[in-house]
Amino acid sequence: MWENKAVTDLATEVYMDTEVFTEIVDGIATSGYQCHLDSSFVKDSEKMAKTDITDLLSEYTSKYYDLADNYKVHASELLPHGLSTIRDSLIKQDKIISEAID
Amino acid sequence: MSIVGKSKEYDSEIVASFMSDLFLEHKKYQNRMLQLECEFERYETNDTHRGKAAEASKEYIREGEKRFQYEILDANSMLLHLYDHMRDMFSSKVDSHPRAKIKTNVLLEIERHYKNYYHDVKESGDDIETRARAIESKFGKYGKVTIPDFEPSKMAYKKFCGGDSENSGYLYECIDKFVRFDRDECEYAESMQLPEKIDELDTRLTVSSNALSMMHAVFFGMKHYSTNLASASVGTPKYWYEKDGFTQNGAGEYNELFDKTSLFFWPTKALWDFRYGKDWNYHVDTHNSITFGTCWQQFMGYMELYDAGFDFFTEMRSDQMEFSYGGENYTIWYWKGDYMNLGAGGECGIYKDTGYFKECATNMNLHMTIKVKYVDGTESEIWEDDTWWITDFNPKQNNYGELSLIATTVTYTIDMSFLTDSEWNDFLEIYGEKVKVLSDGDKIIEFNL
Repeated sequence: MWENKAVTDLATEVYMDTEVFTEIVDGIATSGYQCHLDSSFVKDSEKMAKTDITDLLSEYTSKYYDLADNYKVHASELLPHGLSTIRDSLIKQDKIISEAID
Repeated sequence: MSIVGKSKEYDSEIVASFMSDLFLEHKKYQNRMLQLECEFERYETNDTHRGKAAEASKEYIREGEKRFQYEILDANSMLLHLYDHMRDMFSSKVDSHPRAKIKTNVLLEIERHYKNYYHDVKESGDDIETRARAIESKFGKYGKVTIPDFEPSKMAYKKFCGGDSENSGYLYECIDKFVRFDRDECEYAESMQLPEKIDELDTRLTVSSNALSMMHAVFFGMKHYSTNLASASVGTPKYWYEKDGFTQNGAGEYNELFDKTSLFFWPTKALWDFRYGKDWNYHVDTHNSITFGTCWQQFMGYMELYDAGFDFFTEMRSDQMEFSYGGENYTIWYWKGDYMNLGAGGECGIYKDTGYFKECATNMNLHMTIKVKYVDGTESEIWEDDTWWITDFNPKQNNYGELSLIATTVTYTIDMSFLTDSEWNDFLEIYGEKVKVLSDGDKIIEFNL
């Protein structure tokens, strides 16, 4: 007997309010963009004192700030891009399916 | 001078002022990260986004992105802790005064001057004492002669600058405490392995960022299927879409959407449609993937340039065989290697055309198998699929160098029964030495790399 396998396997609703989704993703992008650290601290940390430990901490600070910069790009651009792609794929799927039905 | 090396300086007031600003800046940063976390929570709890892809992406936000955040903030706390620790240790081990200031070159200069004074006092004092004793022995009978005693002065100088000794005196102790503080703090900071943690985090972030940046909206749907299904009937093998590899071989426990044990790499694995099989190796799923139905990279095809880049970043070997089918040229392109994030193994794909750029031959759903014999002598289970691209990567086999890869053998089989006898004979004429024919009637070939 034929079984609607797709429906029984997935048994889930597929739904996206693209406006709400876009607003949330924009919120992630905006908040991600604000996650920055003032790079002047790296230079200040170099001048703070002349010891091996402050040199080392300055090096760590610089490294951490690079990471924070990368994370800012990740959270404000790349992640929103990836999430928007999910939305766009769904929209495109919908369009293609509708055209296929036509 | 030898205990110091290069001159060291520390000013408690300047350090306190810098740290106050730094901590304020980082407090703001932590608050901004909390705001981002709130946005992540909005994404996770968004009830107007439902479905398996929705759940997968929410899971990724929850377990992937929030963990990134947590680890970045953890590294942040560790960095601030090291600054705090340095300030506390300076206060407890060197000088607790809030305006303490120390410059080793100045202290050494003072020490040098005081050692000179000490020697002057010692020499002059000894001379005066000697002369006084001579006077006392010659004229003492006429009255009392007081012999001056420079010992208390010499002792005071000794206590302050160490006198003739290089490693004693108050100034030496000041410098020594400062030098030891500096050395101990470096050892403590290094023991925390913060740079290693940052590097590791940065690497994972880069992998995730690269994967996210490569995401594209896919062009796959009913229309795509129907077009291909129509063309499939013209010449594609008997196994067209009959079974996927995970049905034939068994899937891993968490194969539904992606491997939940490794969510950081979700974008990579999801994007490239890799899933765990029951053998817990990674296999590409060309049938029922997360990216809405197919491996999106098929739309990009494959070219020699990718292979050059691929070879640069990973340890790999590859080879190709060409064949003709229905007047079209195709390439069997197969690899073995240790691929970043996936482990050691192999893959084999069918490509349309034989030139520099090859299009993925998604119309070629051939029955293929792959089996890997690793450098340690262990072997993977045979993985089979009806597909245009088969892979088998073992995440537990990794860090392969050139020699390990040479000692690794990947065995592939392909059912080429769709070829006409003429096409089959043409293929064997060129590659008869390279392949082993397992079944001449069914035109099944086996080859190794």
